[in-house]
Amino acid sequence: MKNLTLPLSLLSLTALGACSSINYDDPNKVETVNLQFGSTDLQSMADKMVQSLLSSPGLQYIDHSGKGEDKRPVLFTGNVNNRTGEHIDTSSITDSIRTALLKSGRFRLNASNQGQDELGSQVRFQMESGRVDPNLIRQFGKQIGADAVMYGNLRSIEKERQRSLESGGKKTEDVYYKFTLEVVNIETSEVIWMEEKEIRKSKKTGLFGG
Amino acid sequence: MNHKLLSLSRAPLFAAGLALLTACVSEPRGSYNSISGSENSAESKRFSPNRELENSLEIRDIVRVRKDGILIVQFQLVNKLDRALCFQWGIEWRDRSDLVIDYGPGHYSPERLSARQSKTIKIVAPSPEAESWKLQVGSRDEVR
Repeated sequence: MKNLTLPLSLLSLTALGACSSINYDDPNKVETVNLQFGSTDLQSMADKMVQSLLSSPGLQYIDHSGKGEDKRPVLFTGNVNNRTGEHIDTSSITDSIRTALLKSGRFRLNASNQGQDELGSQVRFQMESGRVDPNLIRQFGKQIGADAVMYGNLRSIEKERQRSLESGGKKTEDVYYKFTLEVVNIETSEVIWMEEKEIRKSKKTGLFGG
Repeated sequence: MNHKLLSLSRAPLFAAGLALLTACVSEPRGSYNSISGSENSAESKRFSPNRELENSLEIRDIVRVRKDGILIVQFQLVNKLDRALCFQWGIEWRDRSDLVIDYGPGHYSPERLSARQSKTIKIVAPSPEAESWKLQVGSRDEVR
């Protein structure tokens, strides 16, 4: 019996180690899996920008001749350049911002570049395929012109300090993100709104940590 | 009693105590506390089932104002402890019919306040229809 103790212990340890599970979780939870750009960073960046855009006096309305009664700013959301060392799909940040702005009812949005591609191919299909009722074919040339364009940059600075006696054997990693976004009046090229959001994350790993 | 053996057996305890001292961050676990208010009422309703958090974090100086047609709420978060406090907060907006206003990036924001530190937070409602709000604070429920 005594001889069986070790193999049984090993077997149960293996069984425990093999256990894995998949759970649905709250997408709004704070995410700290690692130092890389994550969902919490994305959400807090988008949130800060939306808060600032909604409260900006310069974006309450934009008027020009021929605009009609609806003076809400018409925005085209351009690109956010990823100038970090990581692969980050920055369109996920602009998508969140666009969603919140549209739901706020305070802004009108032009189709994104992806939307323009889809519109182009759909209108061409209607005009060229011969499958659509000629009376119902939609034409090019009726889009709303944007009042302003929104674009920005995401940058990062990463630093690392290796384990040393001075640091008590701890390894320190630090990453700083700066997200800058601006809205520019198309006609005048004047920057009418600008905001930045900074995020700093650091990780200390003990002597035996990975 | 072998003194050398005794001191060796105490070593893990000392190490654990030292680790606790160096961590020195409070993260109150348990239920969420909330504070809610509306544009038309000066009163704020507090619901604080998490006593530990209630004793660690004070929410005060609440300001609510409608500016350019949109509700803005401002409040101050104060760490009452002599050590750092980690928590998260989120806000929910409701319209006149008390229906939740669903908008894009509604989420919990992680927060870390140093000992006795305070932070003022200003939040703009996601829609002109927002008339009431509910701020929730709780432990950092992290995806690790």
